[in-house]
Amino acid sequence: VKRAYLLTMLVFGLLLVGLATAQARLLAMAIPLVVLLLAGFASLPGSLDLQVERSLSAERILSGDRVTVTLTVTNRGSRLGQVLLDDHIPAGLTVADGSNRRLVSLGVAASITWSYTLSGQRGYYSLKKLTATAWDALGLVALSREVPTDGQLFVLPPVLRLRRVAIKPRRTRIYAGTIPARQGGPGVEFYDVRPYQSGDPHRWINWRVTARHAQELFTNEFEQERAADVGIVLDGRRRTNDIGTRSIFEHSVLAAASLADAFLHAGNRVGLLFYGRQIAWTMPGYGKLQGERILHDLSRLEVGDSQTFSELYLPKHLFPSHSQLVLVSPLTGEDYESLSALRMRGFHLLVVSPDPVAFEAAGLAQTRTTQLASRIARLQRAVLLRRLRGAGIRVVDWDVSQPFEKIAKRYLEQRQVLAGRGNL
Amino acid sequence: VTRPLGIASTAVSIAFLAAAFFLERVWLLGAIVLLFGLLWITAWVFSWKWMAGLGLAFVFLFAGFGLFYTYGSSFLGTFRNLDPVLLFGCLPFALAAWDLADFDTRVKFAAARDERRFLVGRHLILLLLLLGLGMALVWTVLNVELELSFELIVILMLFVSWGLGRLGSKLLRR
Repeated sequence: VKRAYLLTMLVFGLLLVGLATAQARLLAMAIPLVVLLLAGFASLPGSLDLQVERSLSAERILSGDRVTVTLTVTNRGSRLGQVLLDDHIPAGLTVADGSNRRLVSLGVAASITWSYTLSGQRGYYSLKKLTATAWDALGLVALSREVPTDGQLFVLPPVLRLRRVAIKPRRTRIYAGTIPARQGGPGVEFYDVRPYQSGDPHRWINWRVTARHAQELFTNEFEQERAADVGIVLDGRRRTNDIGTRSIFEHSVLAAASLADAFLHAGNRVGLLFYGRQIAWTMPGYGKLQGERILHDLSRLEVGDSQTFSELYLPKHLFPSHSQLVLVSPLTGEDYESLSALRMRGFHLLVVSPDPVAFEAAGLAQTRTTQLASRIARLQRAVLLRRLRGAGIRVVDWDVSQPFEKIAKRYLEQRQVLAGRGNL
Repeated sequence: VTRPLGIASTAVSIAFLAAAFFLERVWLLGAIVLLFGLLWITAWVFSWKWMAGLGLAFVFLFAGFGLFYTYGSSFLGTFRNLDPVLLFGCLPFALAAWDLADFDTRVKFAAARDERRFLVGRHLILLLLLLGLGMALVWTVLNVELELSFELIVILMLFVSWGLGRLGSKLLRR
């Protein structure tokens, strides 16, 4: 419209000055402008009535993967000489190949189809509108309209395949799994010796113990391995995750997704609790479907602040007592009380803590001041972690410059970590 | 093709306008026009969108002033015989440059090569026809001798104002 205004203003100006000074030549100067204005006005599109169909090559992709968006736009109104179709791309997604904009000429009932490729960060994206802008033949006046479409895209967090995560909650479920159940029975690891019962396999007889008792046979018992309830708790508080302009949250999401996958793969029942701006709860479940649910929920989560949940708060009624809780959190000094209270109630706690101090220090210039500040923060964190370990909580301190696979292999997969060695 | 054509149109328009002043030894105005032309061409190189409208207004202002300088001497007390062919000749090129600057930003979104060629070709033909028609009308009007009385001028002014006002409000509504 600005262009039409400019022409109109010039025409007015020339006519006024020309008529005021009775100069026909000045009046004549306005003629080409009037011709352009009239031509533009005559070629304005009558209506902007478009139908848009969108299809995506996949509705779920992993972070870093690409998805092809195909749009078919049909003109149900009058002829459009120039129409710019601009597909709205939500923040977080980027066009990897092709273009989300297309200038076309669309006749009555004509349609056009084009594709482009998107990639993006973890998140849930709604692709629900396309902006169409039609111009007259000279681009003097534009008609613009948002056309609704259907489309959604989940960009799921990356999942690392961990071989196993060694946990030993006091309470297990009745189904077979891989968690030592603190009960004798069929299994792999030696558990106890008991008097022989009819039907026991002969190869289980413990001859060494039997030799010390003249009248009785003894057989070995093994520790049963069962499935367990695992609650994964993801800390999404802004004050723990946002460090300057950077966020450590994506690392926490990666760890949570990988741990959930590992626990589900081992046959456990897994639930996910997220607390940030609000509490989000994925009901516990088994198997691949639960894995999908957790990944979908993880893809939607964002850090946020809440007055209610500024302190670490874990609703205990959501988790069976004596079950395993896995907290993924950078941790703050105030979290000790909540965690030790949970431990006192009998929960087995594993804390995977992306190290915010190392993360922040890596992004700062190495001056004497920052080195000193970083040393103080590191000491405070070391004290916190030591107090947590002293309360019987397993803590894995993860410097996020190291890949999570490496940390998991070193501190989570081995059973001996339960004895409190290494980084624990 | 739109960008080279736009730059060429700008250069021709500025050259015509500057030549009209230089030929009559109005050095200062000619130099101002040339400097402005350089700025406009720089704007093409750096894709400064705002410059096209300013350039169009500038060319019309200076061409109008040149015509007034030539034929309205009683106002200024001086008389210069600037060439009206050059002064009118710079107008369609300035309009073409102004139009192509905007079209150039739009047409880059036409993805397919054939589609772009079609859109550009159609636009250039239309622009050529409209500017040709406009200049033909200018030529016709300038060759018709009309004696304008004061009453006729007032009536014409009112009519034109009403018509353009209607046009403007209609455009605004759309």
